Amino acid sequence: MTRQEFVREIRKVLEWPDDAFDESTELKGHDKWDSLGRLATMTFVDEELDLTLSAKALDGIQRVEDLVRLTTSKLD
Amino acid sequence: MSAGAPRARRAVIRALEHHLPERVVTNAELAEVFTTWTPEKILEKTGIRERHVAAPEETAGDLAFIAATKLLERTGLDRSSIDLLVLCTQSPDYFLPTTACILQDRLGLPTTAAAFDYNLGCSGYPYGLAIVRGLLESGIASRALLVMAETYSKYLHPLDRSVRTLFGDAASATLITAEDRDHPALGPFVLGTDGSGAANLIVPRGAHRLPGGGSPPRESADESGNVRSDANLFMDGPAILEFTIQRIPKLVAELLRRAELRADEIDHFVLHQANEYMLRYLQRKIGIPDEKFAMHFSHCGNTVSSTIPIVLQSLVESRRLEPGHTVAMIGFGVGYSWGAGLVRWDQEGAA
Repeated sequence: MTRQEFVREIRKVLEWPDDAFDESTELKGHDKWDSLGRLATMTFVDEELDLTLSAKALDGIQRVEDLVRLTTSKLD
Repeated sequence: MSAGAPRARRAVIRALEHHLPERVVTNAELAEVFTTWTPEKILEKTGIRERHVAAPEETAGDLAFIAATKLLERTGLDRSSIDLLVLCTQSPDYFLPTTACILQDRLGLPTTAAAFDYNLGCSGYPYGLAIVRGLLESGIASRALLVMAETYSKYLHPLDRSVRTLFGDAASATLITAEDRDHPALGPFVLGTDGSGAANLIVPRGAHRLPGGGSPPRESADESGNVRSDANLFMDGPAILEFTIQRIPKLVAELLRRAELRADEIDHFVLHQANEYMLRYLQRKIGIPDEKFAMHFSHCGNTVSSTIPIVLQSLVESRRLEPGHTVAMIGFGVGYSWGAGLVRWDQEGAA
């Protein structure tokens, strides 16, 4: 999965309401980045990239680019 | 569970019952409080349509009494023959005495019966079966009631969506007897603990580390808008999922290894019914086919230690659980604590 594909998939996973969703999109504080949004992200990353994200790492995420950085070793 | 085991004293599940309190909280009711969610979205995200909650004056001991009474009346069992009562709860009637002691008297069980509580959450049922099996097969007791009873609703803040949509109150009762048999009917078991996760699912205030009383606890909202105080249940959902991802597939693999069985030799997998999202994830991760994956909680929510026996009872009543079937039970959660065990359902007349 490429970096761009990953960002597109994360938008779907989070059921993001706006078309504008890229690495600069702010997640922190958005109602889609609630507990359920994080659960959906964790299971997606685990199943698609075989990578377990820690809850602590997710707590530190501000923007989509931070999520990409956590998964970059598994992206093409 | 190897073939040709010697005839010996074995613990066997003989009957199951449960009780849900009368008051029902529907998704429509919750959607009026949590206005960003519709009833349909709550169902989609949790798999839960409604949950039952105890009345203000109703305790876990009351729910346990009704569940155990239903079981005793249905089986027509002579109460004087019960010599062990084991009760799992994290919402006891009192700090002391144990709820089991009070229940022994309310049920009219003999004073020769041993009775005690143990404090576990969602791993409580496999742990309880392991404890009871040990006491029955060692000859210390012969006929046991294993009771799960929780009123987590009393710990939930009404404005905390993260837990209020999930948890329901319930009690269950399981009759387990010692019988001479060729094959084990319970076990093996795999039990484990990781207390480093204690703070991720906790009611901080009320016992002795942070006593209740004094000034009222201060409420605050988290970044998702969920309100709670330290007298309420706190659950860090992502941390619990991280624990589940890392631990539960390995737990199932270890259970199968100890039982010397392949996954396709298990007839039913009964996992703790936390919520549909987590259950479906585990089903995919472990690779359990739909027909072997039991789910039965949309009418009652996550009832903590009672989820597994409620599913078992539904499997029996719907005749999907038949003599000769092998059931893998997997409980996990608060502690962190986890337990898995096998039930071989080969006893005639059990219900």
